[in-house]
Amino acid sequence: MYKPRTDEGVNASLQENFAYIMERWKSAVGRLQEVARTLSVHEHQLVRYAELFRSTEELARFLLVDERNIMKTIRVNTLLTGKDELKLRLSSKGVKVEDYRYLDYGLVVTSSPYPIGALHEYLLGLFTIQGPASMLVVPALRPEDFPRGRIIDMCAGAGIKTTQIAQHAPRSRIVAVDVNRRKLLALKNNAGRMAVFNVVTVHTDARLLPSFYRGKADAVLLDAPCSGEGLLPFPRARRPRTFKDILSRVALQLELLKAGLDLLRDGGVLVYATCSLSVEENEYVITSVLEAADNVEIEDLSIPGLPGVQRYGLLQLDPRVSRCRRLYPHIHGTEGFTICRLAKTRR
Amino acid sequence: MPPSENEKVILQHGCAEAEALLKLIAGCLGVDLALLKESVELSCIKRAGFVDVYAHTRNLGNEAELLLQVVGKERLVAMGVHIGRINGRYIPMLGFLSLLRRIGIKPKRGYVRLTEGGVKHFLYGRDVWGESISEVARPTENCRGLVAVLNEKGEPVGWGRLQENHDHILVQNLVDLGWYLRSGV
Ligand SMILES: C[S@@+](CC[C@H](N)C(=O)[O-])C[C@H]1O[C@@H](n2cnc3c(N)ncnc32)[C@H](O)[C@@H]1O
Repeated sequence: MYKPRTDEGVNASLQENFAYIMERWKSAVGRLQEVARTLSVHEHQLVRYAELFRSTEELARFLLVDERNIMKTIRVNTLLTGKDELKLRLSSKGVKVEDYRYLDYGLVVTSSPYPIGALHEYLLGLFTIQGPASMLVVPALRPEDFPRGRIIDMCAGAGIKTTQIAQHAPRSRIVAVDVNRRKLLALKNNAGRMAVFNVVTVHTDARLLPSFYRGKADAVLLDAPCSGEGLLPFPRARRPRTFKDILSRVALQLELLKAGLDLLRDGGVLVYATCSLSVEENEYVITSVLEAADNVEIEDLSIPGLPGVQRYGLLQLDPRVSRCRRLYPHIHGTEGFTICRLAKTRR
Repeated sequence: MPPSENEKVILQHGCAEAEALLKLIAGCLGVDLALLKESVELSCIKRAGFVDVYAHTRNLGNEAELLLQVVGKERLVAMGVHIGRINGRYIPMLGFLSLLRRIGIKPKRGYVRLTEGGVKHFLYGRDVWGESISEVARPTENCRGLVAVLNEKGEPVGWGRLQENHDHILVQNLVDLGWYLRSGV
């Protein structure tokens, strides 16, 4: 069973690591301070990412990715239409699209005379707007392996991924949960628009779910609340994040992940994903859980991305985290994302 | 407005009101009621003064009932798709049209078809009339002029009320898909 680390334990090891990283990179990142200021990037972020890339040149390339370099993608709603049919409809309106190389029901919009979200095809639920990396999270879960199973979406938000789960498993029972009621109303609308009939949507804290669903879920999606640092190329999502901001996210992520694993039956799977490239919020969170649980394994993923990071400052990260996948704006042309698939082994 | 913790909410699986709504609207559109019933189950969420009707896959009703015994019924936001509301009257929602599209059923009566320009106008929440309407298939008497509003391809884009006066036809906009953008959530 999972034995949670104490908050102090989390803070102490991460803080010690951060002090080391700061010491190591502070002067090297000096020449990037000006760029960082214009991009609303905090010095703490500069040093953390310098340590991640182990190179200030790559850090600069990462910081300078423009949002125009990120693919603009839409997800075809295969419950209502096919990709070729949608392509024809869009092209008759002058919207140019190409196949998305990482997902067969994704499309890249290369030009459009209209805002994509105002097209009638959008209102008719034939597609939804979804980032190119975000679209790979549900395929990592492989909901189709549980066609009639119980799938819990712990942080469902507006349900972009919930409706995608339904495309993979339209007869499953999806339980979608979030603490933000307004976002769940958007989920309700999205499910209506996209004709998704297999979701029950409940306003609650996902950390409470094990009191009822312990060991009862076949699959769990934990699209965790995070720093959002993977969205750095988008000016609207930029804001400076101190190391303390990251710490507060990590504490919540650990609690949510612990709850998520408690929900799984033996043999069940959980995908942990964040739109963040921070090692603290990803490999560190996963390592902490693996340390405390002897019946959880990380599984290989057949989605694109670089392997999870095993070396980051002084942190001792579990070598199995290399099975996670990281998508980078300056390498993959996607928003930044980290995706890990965990399985509860049979006893 | 989030519901208060004390608000009385009743979740009822397979309720009579939902059956009545499905039957009435299916009758207005001339669509196969048996096929609709085969495809989904219905549940009602009853609150003071109105009943919301949801269509969902089989087993989801049981799932919701069990779950809500623990977290509290007022915490339920939706189950499947919201297809209608009953507040003394039977009001079909946009979700009813999604149900028709998901199953692949087209109305046989109780619809109007609009031109491309008419659809644009309608999706801004406006009423349409005259040359914007390319076809009219009247509903039965008891439907009080309720029609599904279709685009040129025959896909439903909203609900309207048909108002006829001598040779003048107007479709009053009851709800249209543009609401998804205008609703602000
Ligand atoms: C990354 S967003 C989810 C996006 C969503 N999965 C989608 O694809 O549209 C993280 C979500 O976690 C929710 N959240 C934060 N703390 C939570 C908790 N304790 N329980 C449930 N949801 C939580 C936030 O409200 C937010 O909607």
